[in-house]
Amino acid sequence: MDKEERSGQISNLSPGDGITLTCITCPVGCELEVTLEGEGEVRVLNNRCPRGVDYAVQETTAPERTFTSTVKLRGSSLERRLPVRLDRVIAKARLLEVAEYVRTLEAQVPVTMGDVLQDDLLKLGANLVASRSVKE
Amino acid sequence: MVGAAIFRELCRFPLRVLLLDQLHDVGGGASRANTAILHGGFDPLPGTLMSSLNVEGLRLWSSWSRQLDVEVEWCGSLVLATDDEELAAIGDLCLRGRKARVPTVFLLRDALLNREPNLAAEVKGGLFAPVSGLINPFQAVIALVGNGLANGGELALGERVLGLRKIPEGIEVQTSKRTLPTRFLFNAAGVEADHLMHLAGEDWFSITPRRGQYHVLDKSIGHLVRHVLFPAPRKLGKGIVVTRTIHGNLMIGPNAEDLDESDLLTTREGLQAVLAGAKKLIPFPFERYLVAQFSGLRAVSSTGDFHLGPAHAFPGVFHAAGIKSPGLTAAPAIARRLVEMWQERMDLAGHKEVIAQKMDWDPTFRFPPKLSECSLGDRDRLIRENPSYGRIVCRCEGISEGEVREAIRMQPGATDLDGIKRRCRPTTGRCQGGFCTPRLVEILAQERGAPLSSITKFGEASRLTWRDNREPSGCE
Amino acid sequence: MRVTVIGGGPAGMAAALSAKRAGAEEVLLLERAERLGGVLPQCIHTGFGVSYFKEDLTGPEFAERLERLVAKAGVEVWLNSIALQAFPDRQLLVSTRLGLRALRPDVLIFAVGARERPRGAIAIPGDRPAGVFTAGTAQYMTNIQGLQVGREFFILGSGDIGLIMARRFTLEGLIVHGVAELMPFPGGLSRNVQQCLRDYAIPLYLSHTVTGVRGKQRVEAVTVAPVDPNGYPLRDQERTYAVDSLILSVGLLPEAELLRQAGLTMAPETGGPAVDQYYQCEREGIFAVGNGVAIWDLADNVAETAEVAGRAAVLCPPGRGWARVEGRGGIRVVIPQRWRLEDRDLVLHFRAGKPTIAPRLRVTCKGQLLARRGYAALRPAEMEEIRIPAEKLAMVEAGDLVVLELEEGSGG
Repeated sequence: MDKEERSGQISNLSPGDGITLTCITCPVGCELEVTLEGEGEVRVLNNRCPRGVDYAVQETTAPERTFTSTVKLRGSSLERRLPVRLDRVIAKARLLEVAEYVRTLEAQVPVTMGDVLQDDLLKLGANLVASRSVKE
Repeated sequence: MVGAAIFRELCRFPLRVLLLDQLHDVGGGASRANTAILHGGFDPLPGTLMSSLNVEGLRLWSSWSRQLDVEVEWCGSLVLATDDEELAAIGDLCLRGRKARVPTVFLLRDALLNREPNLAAEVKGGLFAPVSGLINPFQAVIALVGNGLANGGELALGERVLGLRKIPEGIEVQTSKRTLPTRFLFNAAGVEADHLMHLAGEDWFSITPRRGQYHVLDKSIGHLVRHVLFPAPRKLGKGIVVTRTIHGNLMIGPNAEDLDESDLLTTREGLQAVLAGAKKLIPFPFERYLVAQFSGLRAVSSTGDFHLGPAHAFPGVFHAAGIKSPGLTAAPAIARRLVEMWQERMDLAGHKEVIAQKMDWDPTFRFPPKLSECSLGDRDRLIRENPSYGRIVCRCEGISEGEVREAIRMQPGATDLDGIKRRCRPTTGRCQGGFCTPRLVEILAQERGAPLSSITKFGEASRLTWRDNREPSGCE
Repeated sequence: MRVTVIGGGPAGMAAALSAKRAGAEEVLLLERAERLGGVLPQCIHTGFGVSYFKEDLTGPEFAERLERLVAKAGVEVWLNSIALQAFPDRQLLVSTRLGLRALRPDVLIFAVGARERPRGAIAIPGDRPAGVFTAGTAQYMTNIQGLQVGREFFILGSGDIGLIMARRFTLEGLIVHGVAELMPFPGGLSRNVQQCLRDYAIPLYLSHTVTGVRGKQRVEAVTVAPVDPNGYPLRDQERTYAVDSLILSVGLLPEAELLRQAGLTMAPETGGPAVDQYYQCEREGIFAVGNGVAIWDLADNVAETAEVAGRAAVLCPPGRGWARVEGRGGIRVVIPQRWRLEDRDLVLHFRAGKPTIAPRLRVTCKGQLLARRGYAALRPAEMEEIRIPAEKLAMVEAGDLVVLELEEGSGG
């Protein structure tokens, strides 16, 4: 399957490793050829503007992502689930662990959008907040 | 369809009648996957059962459809010829029709174009049979069974016949669930009717499942045809038909593939053959209007005709086997004929009491209200009486929550998504259930007092979802 | 003035809001579901509101923000209310839980959204078991109903919802075996390919399709094969994936039946009605916005079209004629399809037919150049725009044809 694209966890790269990244800074979507040269230093090819380099550095040194999920909602006659989010980005490498933990949580009505359901979730420095209001 | 018609007819008499089906709903075999046509009766060879039962069945449907609230549309059919050889074949059909006393008219291209403006340039002439049309086959089975149930019949689903044994009182039927003693057994097992004949000790008859694949197309092109359009006859069945469903979708198919074993899958090649066949009659880019595909099995008998009658060596057993097209049209006549045979036996045996119709037998059946057929005033009144008629669940076909709830509550009621679809047709529209599936799951779960995750598409292991995604693993 | 908006998703709410703010006395918003928001409540991921609210919100947050504004502005909302029929004179038949209602507003705005193409629309052969879902249906069942729709997935189509669901299933602890895309390029936004697939090492098979579904009761396997340049599967290279679910993300279509019924002219390339730059259809007082007109990339785009229409519905004087707008040579979709003559700049939204690097785009009328612009790249997945200055448009007259096309020799 020659068209197969496969790229693993970027944070597992060691010096000398190369990887292709799609820059997500703007819709051009440059296919960046990134090579890790040493601790926190990268060589970037195929970028059409300097923002590609910034993205590649961020992405190869400390990639971060937003996190959202749902939790079981108790006491509502209308809704079975409450959508939730973390109020700041977290390390990409922790997403699966966070997801597994959040699946075990529950919320109770009434709840208002922005309510903090758990602060400093798993000591990541981000709070889990309700992403909508459910009154009854 | 045949079993359901026999069930309805037997329920006229003071008997205990049980309808057994191995599937989880009635009408789940050939009745749910066919061309849904009431055939005129000019096609079968004169002198065969197929011929006489087709004509008689057609006549019966015109009254049964009214008694049973089944949708039919007498739009007429055309058999079309594109060359001289096919014109000759149509001439033969015309003669067959005359012998069977089926009114047909031969039309030349100009006259055909008045009836069907979108015909292919190659079409030279055709046969017009005014007394033929469309039927809602799902509804027909449900109405027949519902009528039987209302007249005291019983229904057992998900139960398969494994063996038959002669006992002094009649027959002992071994099913997948229990042992059932019975006086009489009527075999209407469709493509498996030969299997049941084997169990009754007859192996002279066999059935080949013939698969036919279909495309259902969008309603927006339903107006392309007015009649049921057949190509001139070929060796394998009636060829690829261009027709409408009773609800206004265009439908094309079937191709014909003889199988060693029943298998209902569709294939890329088969579906392409259907498109190519349809284009010979109506040249149109059908592939841009695809809505759904399905395949059905026709029970092709080794004798080339229907087989009706008592078992040769197993008293009390009656067969209706090898019922392929025009079986749907012939079903009422098949049932009548078979029940008459049973009556004769009873009469000879001196059991006159069981062949007299029950005083309170009710020939009618009514479906719950269908909003799309109601006047605006009736519709408004229905909503005021029951607000769930005001909430539309299926936006493509305009089906309300109230109609879905009634489809579950009626007898025989829907127990899964396909059951709802066959009774009031949500998921059959443009979105094919994209919007309404979650709604239907909710309503079914509520009506059955069961968890959302227990709902199936068509019973057994056809689960839609595995579990609640926030309960610990293992909990259903 | 009485304005009725059909559909309470982002487009409908934004249209109702802007009509009210522009001074319409009575604005009625009809929503068929029991909650406002359309698909937003099930889109629990972020990426919403970046331009409309200048904040990166989740779908439910975006919906709730809009809902609060709608309530504060005094828009009347009918839930569980569906338009059954619409007529060219703006008459509307509505089914509600209280009975049928006939309305005839001064302005009718359709914000009816889109539907997903189902399995039947692309005729995937094979068995017909449970376990084949469109991505949006799976999303609703996962996020709203809280159901586990499957354990092992294959996804056909790399539309954004499919990509989002690949990530969602992975975060739910489930397994996504791969995503197949018929075209040689992804259908969804590049950033979604990155953050939903590559982040989790989910393979994307370009120029591949699902050739069959197996399973008598529930899906047991799907077969996948590469396709030749004409899109025909190469069956000898077929691979089988043992999965219990097939998720389809093979395109959205404007849900245009009601508009067709109302006698509006439809645009074949979008599947929605033909509109002018204010999203007015070819009937005075009937507007169509959001994904009911054409499929936009983001809910923000959808809300912006609705804002334009809501304001115009109240404030716009009758037009003095229209010119036609058409995309050619590599341009697949252009919105609007008609330009209402006026002394303002015109922004054309368009989609390229295939990925093109460094193309130049030109807009002409009667052989004269109206605008020209170069792009770093154009992708079918991304709706782009070009602005034509008012002074250039002065030469365009009613009935003229404005053409948008890629310049020959540009791009690669």
